Amino acid sequence: MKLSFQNLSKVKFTAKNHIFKESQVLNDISFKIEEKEIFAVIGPSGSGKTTLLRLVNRLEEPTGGDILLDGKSILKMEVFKLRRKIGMVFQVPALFLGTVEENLFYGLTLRKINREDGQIRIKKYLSYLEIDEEILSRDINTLSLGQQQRISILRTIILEPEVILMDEPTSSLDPSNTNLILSLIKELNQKLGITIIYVTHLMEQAKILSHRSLVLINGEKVEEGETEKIFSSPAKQETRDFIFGKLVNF
Amino acid sequence: MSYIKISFIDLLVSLSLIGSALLIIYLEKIKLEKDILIGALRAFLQLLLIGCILKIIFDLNKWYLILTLVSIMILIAGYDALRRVKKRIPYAYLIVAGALTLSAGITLFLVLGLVLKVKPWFTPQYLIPIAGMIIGNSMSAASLALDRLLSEVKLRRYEIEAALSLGAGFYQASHFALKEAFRAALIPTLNTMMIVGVVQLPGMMTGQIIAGANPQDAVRYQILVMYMILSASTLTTFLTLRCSSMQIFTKFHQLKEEYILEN
Ligand SMILES: Nc1ncnc2c1ncn2[C@@H]1O[C@H](COP(=O)(O)OP(=O)(O)OP(=O)(O)O)[C@@H](O)[C@H]1O
Ligand SMILES: [Mg+2]
Repeated sequence: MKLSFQNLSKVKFTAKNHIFKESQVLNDISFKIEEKEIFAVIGPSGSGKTTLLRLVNRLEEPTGGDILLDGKSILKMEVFKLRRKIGMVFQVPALFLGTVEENLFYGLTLRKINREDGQIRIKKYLSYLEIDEEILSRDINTLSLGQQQRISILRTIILEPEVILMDEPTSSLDPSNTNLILSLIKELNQKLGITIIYVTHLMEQAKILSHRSLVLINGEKVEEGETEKIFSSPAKQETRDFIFGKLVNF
Repeated sequence: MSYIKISFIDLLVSLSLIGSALLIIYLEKIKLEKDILIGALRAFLQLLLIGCILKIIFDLNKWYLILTLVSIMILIAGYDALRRVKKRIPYAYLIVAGALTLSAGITLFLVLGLVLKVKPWFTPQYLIPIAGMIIGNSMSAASLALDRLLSEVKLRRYEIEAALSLGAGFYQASHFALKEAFRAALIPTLNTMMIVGVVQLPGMMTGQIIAGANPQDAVRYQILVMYMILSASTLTTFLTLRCSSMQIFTKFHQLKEEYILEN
């Protein structure tokens, strides 16, 4: 799956005491993501990373521009088809009340994958993340935040979509679990050819994981290119400030 | 039928009931005297007025007058249901009034046509009180359902969006909120069914007994009434929730942002 972002813009309105305040969350962003690539979106808090992913999953409409999926506008695609091709892992676990198994089967059932095949997939990925199968019958409210986050990642990954959007998926994981997730992402990319868009504010992760990156600051594209290059010789002062931690953005 | 009629003088004597309530409120310095007086007066005037209207309608006994009265009841009920809902959705009034009309229509057909076999079908003695009970209870259900739906959608936005993202349609994704809204709407009716006859004798049954009906007949009516209220409330709730959830999402199965923000 190739993705092409063309002059993408998003303006959001907030009404306070009947006065509308308008904020440009994404401003005229254009870039490309190649087939079977791990692409990092990096930027400080509030720079519009989550919003960008939500636009790709079509949980929101852009106010300008377009996103092309293999040359075809996602705005002209049937939304169910799009969301089947493109899975999303949210910044918060967003699990459904119930057991872990119910959560993992939600998307599988929607895709009419039968129980046995579903179980095989679930077991495969659980063992990959070194999670005991005992967890399947647990109520999600008995899980730690890190466990919830891993289940939430699995819930999307087991569907093996063509593109996976990940919004800071390791934010509440310890280093060893973070590494398991990062290597699973690499494996999904290499073995299954899944395109990954990985949102992070952690430079290290972008470096380890991604082929290319986009630097987003204040809703503006600051830089796009090979991750190596961006880190070794950032073209823009803003990128340098961000990478070296001088940029504080609220 | 034999029952003691209440004369106008008797009614004035009954004011002593209000008087005793007033006295307690006054002595305890609760400062509710004005509300009690207004409440007593309003109840008095409104009921006298509706008594006159009902008398006229009963005497004329015309199907179109009776249906007009029922329609007015629905129009007022739709308004009243929304008064208790904090947030607005598009077409809310149309949705609630439509749901009430449809479920009242169906329930009335079942009760009057199939169970009681009233002839002619519009006989006001049956149609008006039964329609009143159906509309009144369904209205409360619709109101509770809508209010709860809107607060649950806000509370469960992450679950709902996760479900959408996993490929669910808006109706399926809103199930997390719909389930709670449905329960909130029906629990009062279910609770009443659980304790009816044990703790409290329902108003209609009491009325029939005072009017001289055989208690065993009155009880049968009450059973019918409870079943009909449950069925009408369920249908109203379903229709209200189904149509309202459509307003909370865009046609691209996106949760509209205004429903996850405050106010
Ligand atoms: N409903 C809204 N109305 C107005 N502004 C909004 C709204 N939602 C988000 N924003 C603003 O849009 C900007 C981008 O938000 P977004 O969540 O995409 O940032 P982010 O890069 O994901 O940040 P983080 O790293 O903290 O998750 C922020 O400045 C935020 O305050
Ligand atoms: Mg974010």
